[in-house]
Amino acid sequence: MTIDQLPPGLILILGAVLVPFLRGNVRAIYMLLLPALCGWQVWHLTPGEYGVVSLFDYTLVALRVDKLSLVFAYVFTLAAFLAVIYSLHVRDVVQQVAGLGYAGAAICAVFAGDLITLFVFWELTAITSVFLVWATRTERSFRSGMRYLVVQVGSGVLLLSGALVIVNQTGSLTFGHIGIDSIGGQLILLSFGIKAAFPLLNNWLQDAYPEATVTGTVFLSAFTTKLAIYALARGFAGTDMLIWIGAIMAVFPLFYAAIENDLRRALAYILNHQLGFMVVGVGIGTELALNGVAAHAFAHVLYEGMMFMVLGAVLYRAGTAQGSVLGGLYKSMPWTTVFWIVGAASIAGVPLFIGFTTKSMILTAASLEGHWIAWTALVFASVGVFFLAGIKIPYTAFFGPASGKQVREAPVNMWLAMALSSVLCIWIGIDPSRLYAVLPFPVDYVPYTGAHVINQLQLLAFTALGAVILFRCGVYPKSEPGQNLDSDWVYRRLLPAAAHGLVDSLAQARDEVWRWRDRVFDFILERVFHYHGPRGIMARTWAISGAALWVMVLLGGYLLVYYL
Amino acid sequence: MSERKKPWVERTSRTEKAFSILALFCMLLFVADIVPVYEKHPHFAIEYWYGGYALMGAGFVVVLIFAALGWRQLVKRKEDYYDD
Repeated sequence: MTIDQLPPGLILILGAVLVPFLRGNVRAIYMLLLPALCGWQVWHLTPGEYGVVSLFDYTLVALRVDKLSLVFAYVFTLAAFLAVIYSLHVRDVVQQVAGLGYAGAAICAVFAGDLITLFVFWELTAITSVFLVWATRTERSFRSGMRYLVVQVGSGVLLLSGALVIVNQTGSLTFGHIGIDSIGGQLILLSFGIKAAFPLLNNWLQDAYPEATVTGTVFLSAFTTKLAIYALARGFAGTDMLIWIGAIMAVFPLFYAAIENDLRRALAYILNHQLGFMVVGVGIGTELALNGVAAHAFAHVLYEGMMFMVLGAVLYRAGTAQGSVLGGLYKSMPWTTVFWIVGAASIAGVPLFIGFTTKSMILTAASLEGHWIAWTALVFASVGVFFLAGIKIPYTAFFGPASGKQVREAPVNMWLAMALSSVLCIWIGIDPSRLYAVLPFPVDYVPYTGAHVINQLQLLAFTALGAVILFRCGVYPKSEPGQNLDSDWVYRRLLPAAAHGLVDSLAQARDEVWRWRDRVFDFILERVFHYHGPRGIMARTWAISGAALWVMVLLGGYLLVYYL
Repeated sequence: MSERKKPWVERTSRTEKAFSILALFCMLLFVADIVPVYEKHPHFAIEYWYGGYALMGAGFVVVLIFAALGWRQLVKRKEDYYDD
């Protein structure tokens, strides 16, 4: 095996090991070079299988290159580069090593040609990324990170279990289409579903991401969930169940995002909702739908990452991302405000922005296949995300009543990362041909038709009109402090309460058993004392003649029995 | 602060003007459906309607806002609910 047969992500993983030994600008330049070098290697990969090794009777493929893996590798490498720029001001070596290792693990995972290699890097993404949560170094982030780690590692255990079942049934470890016909496939779908934040399996995301550091959340937003989307597209394309799951995912998190006070948590819910679009696309499974999934994942990494960058910059400068105490930041952070607007326009699918050219592929695929319920859910989701990202959050943080916080514009490295992301969102939005050229299947799709553009503008303009009229009527979900219960309530409150209840019940049962034991002992002691105590019948002094008489009676009785 | 000294986005007259522009823009988009200036490619019934997308935009955002307000009543607790 030669070095060009190794997964490009290893450049980041192994390169991260040297980071602690470098200082100052040398470290910064080195950290920028790593994703650039990784990107160079990814760009020069040609389709095929490399790094093939035999392990016992099985074949492991460390580097399987095809168009599906390449498009995800491109955007992961790009995201790593942007995230490194965004975090150049950070001096915490833990975050730097964890961020690079995490990005590298995700890139290695998308090139995994077998389930064992996938499992190894799947778990490595979990182990490296948790340090980005713990790097906040608070009790709250530690607990959140522990919950995150348990869920992520649990997902890996399910993946390994499913892989073992499959290899037992088929004799092959190849990571291709899996399907849900076997128990192994169902276990792996569950594993992917946890990482993709399926409904009720989602709350690790909203729990951990807002607790991570300013820069850590930018890394986190790019890799874990999109790796899961890639894995779903590879293993479960055309699985009808995913259409329903995706439709629920696209809609339900928006209700939480609308009432969430922590804007980074609200954005985590929006991220979750965007994954719903991709899961629907995977479920539809046609070439157009899968192209839409890959394209939307690509776009999503760019604009969602940028939106986390913007809120990170707000948190960095204002010291908080709580909507209830923010407002009027457009005056002190005008560039950051502009970058948010670009991100919001992209996520809402405004024409000329990247989201318009990618989201519409999935919606069109749903239309062409006649999935009207899923299509309606996705249109509802499009309306919802425009209201939230385009109206509510910018009003809360940037344009609403001023909070009185005097802050400065984002640091220059943060500004540069956001500016580059914005340029890409607009550039690809205006001319998506370069993105379409790297999609898994040939693209026969034109986003800029009169119908697409006008219908989308109608949808968005009337969304704004409806929201503004309701706002004028005083009907508006304004940001308020509080904790909104989600599925994590099960393992943060219900299960601990049930465990405490069980422990209390067992303790009561034990106390009752001890009480009965004491009563029995007391009874025995009391009886013994009764017969053998100082006044007991057995303790009395008997005359020798009486004893002789009793012995004689006993012997007489014995003789009588003997002769009978 | 007097109205003239406020940044333009905070002046009542400007926000009123922005609202009027939005309403006018919506009206034009609605008219684009009645006087077809583009070729429709409908798949579902609502796409055949005049202003079908307009109806979905305005209707869905109202549903979302009311549903979110109702949902808040159900799931909102104090900040220290989990006590960690």
